[in-house]
Amino acid sequence: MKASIRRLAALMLLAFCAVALGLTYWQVVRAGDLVYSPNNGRLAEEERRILRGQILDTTGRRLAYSDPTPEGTVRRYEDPTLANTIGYVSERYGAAGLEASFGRYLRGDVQADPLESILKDAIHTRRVGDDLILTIDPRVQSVAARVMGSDRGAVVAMDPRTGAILAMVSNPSYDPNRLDEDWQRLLDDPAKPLLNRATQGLYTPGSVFKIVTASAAIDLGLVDLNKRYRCTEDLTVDGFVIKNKNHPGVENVTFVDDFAYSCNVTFAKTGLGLGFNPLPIGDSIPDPAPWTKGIEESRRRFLDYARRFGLEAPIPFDLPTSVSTVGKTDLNRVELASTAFGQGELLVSPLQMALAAATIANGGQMPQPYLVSEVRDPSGRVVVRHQPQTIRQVVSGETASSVNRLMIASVQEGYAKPAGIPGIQVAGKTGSAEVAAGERTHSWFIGYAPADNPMVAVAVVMENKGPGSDFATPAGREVIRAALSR
Amino acid sequence: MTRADAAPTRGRWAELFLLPLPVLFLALGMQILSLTRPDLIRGPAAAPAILVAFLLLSSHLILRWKAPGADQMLMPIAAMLVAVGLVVVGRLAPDLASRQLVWVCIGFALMWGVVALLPSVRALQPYKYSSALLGILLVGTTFVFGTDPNQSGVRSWLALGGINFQPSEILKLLLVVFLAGYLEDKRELLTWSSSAIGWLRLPPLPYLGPLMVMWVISMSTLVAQRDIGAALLFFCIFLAMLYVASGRAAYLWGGLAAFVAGAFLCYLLFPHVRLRVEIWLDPWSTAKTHGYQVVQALVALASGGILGSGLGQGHPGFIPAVQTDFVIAAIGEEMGLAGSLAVVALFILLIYRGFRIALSARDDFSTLLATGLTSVVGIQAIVILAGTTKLIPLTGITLPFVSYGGSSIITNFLLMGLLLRLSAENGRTDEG
Repeated sequence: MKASIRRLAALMLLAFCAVALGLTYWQVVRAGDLVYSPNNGRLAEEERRILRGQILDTTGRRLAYSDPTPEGTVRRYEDPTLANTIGYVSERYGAAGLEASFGRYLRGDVQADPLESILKDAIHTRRVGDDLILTIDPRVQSVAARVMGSDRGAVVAMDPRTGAILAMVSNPSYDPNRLDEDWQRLLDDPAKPLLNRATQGLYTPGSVFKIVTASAAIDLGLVDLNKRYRCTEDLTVDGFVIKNKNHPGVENVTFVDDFAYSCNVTFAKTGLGLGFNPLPIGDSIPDPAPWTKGIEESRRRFLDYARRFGLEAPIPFDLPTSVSTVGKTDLNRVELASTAFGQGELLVSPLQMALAAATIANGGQMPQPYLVSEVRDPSGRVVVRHQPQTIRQVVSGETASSVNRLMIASVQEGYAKPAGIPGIQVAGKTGSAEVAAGERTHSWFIGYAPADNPMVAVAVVMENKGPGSDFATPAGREVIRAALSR
Repeated sequence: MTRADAAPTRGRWAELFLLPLPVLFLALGMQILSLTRPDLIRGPAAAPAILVAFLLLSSHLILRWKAPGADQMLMPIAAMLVAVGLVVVGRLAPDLASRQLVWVCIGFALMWGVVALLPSVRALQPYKYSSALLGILLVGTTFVFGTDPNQSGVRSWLALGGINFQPSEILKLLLVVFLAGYLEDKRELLTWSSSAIGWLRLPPLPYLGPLMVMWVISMSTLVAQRDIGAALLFFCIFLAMLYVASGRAAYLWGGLAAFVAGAFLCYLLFPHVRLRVEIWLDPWSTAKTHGYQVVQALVALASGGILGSGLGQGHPGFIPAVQTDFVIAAIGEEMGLAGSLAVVALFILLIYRGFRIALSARDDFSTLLATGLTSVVGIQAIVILAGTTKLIPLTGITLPFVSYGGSSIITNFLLMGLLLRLSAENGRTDEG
């Protein structure tokens, strides 16, 4: 009997070892994929146990907060005009906007004091997430939302000295409080209300892009702003005709006038002529034009300045951004000419153009934009404080002040006149981007004020609305006025 | 320790030194729970530990007095499992925790009764047929008056004055006593054979007959009650004892083959058995319906990882019937692989001590009884642990000493009393 008892014991030991291996398999080998499988309700449960942090605007007003109700915690949003900026958090649909990009803080995953975080985890008191304090100014935001009305498009207003975003509107928006009811309709809506147009919308910029072309020519020392030249003729590049239709009505103009009146012929020539000195603009350029010999240097310089202004690279920001682009790098003459005045295959985001304006306003330095100025833990201690940073010196200070002069002229006597505010020097540029035959142009305005000491820079785009001067420019003026009267 | 140390070990010092461990575990566990999940604590958190300390000290003194030679490891190991069980039940089903504590008290009292009052285990031998009869009676009663208080589809409960009792638990002990007595009588006959079917030589049928009858009765009634786990358990206990008594592996393999054949027949005949097997083969495709319990148990184990989420900090509540059938998943989630393997190790130690007692028993009845009792604990633990980890199809039975359940706790304490009594009679003291 003893031998069989031993064998029976060995058999049982073997079975227990199999169980131990089984436990190891599930708890170690398969742990990764099972924990994140949809069958695991723990992640959502964990989220429900956390009192998510609040999101506050610059005045301390609550924009988003969690409301503990008997049925569970409900996330509430106060300002639907900020829906695409703040985003949402949903058990079913995940998270978007700042709710997603700052989720770690809002959930309280990051603690100011690591020891305290270990203690809290050990005792497992109900975790309270950190609060976000935004740079959004409710007075600017409400004006920006009001001037957009029901038009599709976006507004970005920022402090050019720091990069702080004062207002950000993306139209159409949605009500994040009603996500469960509206989700399918929002997905099906051809207007794409879930897209943050301010950061991820890509538009043909039209004439607002002339800031980049002008900056390049001035920074390269190719332009004398005071020199007068005759500019009346159309331009034909490889059979493509650019009409000389925007001019001040006099025959002899300066580069300042051509900018103020947004002359496409001059800017096409500027783009094509960036590789030549002096810049071949005006009617009296040699025939054949210098660019017929080759545009390699002009193209290289143009693309270089486009990149310096932030195209072809993601903008470092608190929200996901789309990359603004020239469209292609092997531009031919026609493409280079039309890209130089803002058409071609250019696609830019409103945030990108606000940054271009802010760069000129900030003496040629591009500020890094940000939305979250502080993260505070529930006891009010600062976890993270944003330090204003510069992305790069895009153009020299002298270049910036020259472009500043162009933009002031544009508001004082050019197409950007509707941006004028009595008693304040406003700098700006309009744009009427042609998108498709038979469609109205996108109405653009970028600008800043006061021109001698800029405190706010804006970009406004209204989709298929019409000329920039008529729509986006007065809208931009109201946003600037609101920002300056803070 | 060597035999020379036998005299001082009569003081049962090893046991005395080990007994504070389960008390400490229980005190610490309840203290952590009272900090992390005060909502789960009913009454003072220290109460269970104090009560268990008192019970263990009493047990120790009674053993010193009545059975000084009894195995010194059994009590600490079982007490550790009980402590784990009390913490886990307190965490999973706080409303049941005090009832579990009452069952543990009753269990200890019964164990003391067996140790102190049973003159000798051999005294049970003549009651083998009475034991079988009582067992059949119990099963029969359940068959007629059985209830299903948990809506689990298993009508294996008896309601006695408001308390539900699961006769199949106590039936295991009756079966072991019967088999030990019967196999001791017929052992000689079982080892030689008079007939053969192919290579399988069979013992004389008249002697095997009663065993078969016993088996068929228990199996069929249990299958009728849909309690597959208990049926599997009974059959394995029967096979283990038959193997030890006969010393012939052919019974074991033949029996297992017969079981697989029987199981396949059940698979074909009973939809609920077929469902169990299908869930076992692929719980994922029905993760929201039939496979829910199994999938949730596996996800719980996975989310525990190596060190676990910490007591009170996981979500074992996602698993239905977690406090009875799936305690190991809850342990795995909150105490990690470290905790679940520790529980497996405790069971390995427990059956090791049990088989040691069997090996050193002085007569065949004691040997068989010790083997049977140890097998009850070992096989039951294996069946539910292997079921939870998807090694075999899941059957709803309790994890001995750990799971919530009065019948289970009482049966296991009675079993412990018998093993202690047996080891005391072996005249050998513990050798560590």
